Amino acid sequence: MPSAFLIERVGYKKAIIIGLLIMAAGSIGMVPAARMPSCEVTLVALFVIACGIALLQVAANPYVAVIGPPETSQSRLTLVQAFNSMGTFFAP
Amino acid sequence: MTMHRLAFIDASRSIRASMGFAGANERQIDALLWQPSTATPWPLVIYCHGTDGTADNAIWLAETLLEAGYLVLAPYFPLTSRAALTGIAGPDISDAGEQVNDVRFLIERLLADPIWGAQIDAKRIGSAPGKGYGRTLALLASLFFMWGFITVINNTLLPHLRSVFDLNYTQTTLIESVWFIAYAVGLPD
Repeated sequence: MPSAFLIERVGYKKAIIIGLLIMAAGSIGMVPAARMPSCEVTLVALFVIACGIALLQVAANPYVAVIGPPETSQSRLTLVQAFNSMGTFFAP
Repeated sequence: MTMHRLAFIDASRSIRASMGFAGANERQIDALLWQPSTATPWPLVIYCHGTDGTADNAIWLAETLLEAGYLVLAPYFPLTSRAALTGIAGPDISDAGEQVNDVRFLIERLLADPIWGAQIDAKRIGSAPGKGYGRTLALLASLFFMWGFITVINNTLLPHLRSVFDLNYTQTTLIESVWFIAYAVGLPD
């Protein structure tokens, strides 16, 4: 799944939406995995979620950089990365 | 790049009295026109500022477009820009519907112009909206938060999985590494 190719075809915004949809599909896949319960299905679901995240990572970063004036793109990137770190702090 | 100040007058439409402006029978629209240094014909982009905006409030966008070889026309909408010729005290949003006709009029007038008309690629005309990127940034920040959250929550999942499944060594490693395998598959061009 070449993320850069997809972004080139559909643009940043749609690529982010597709990434989120892929993650949603993976998350839904966790439900049968927990019901069965099956290790393989869990693995596949995790893989799908991570694929969505990978696409998000490729699409969201340059998108943050281009939504405003180029001079302030660094501060915007720093801001969203701060939120990313905040997520990793609050998760456990 | 060169900037021109232009005034367009549409005699068929008026500006209504609003926000301290007495009203006018003709609709005059002042605009800025930036000319790229690339070869003609130029594609045209109309930059439409938002409520209470100005023609040059997204100069970075105009510069980006200019570098890409676009001719950029940015009007001051008469009743939604305090920098417009009307000198209004505040924006009158009820005039926003008229802005569609303003843009249509500007495109028609520019294409009919003996100097500019010949230099515009009439098949490539578009508009760029002027809006703040604050909401987009807020949404993206929450997206990044969620993404950091999910990446870490995955590691805390492992002890739970161990209690449910009877995992052997390979399976444990796989669960830990499937995240990075997906990255390896998803990222390359």
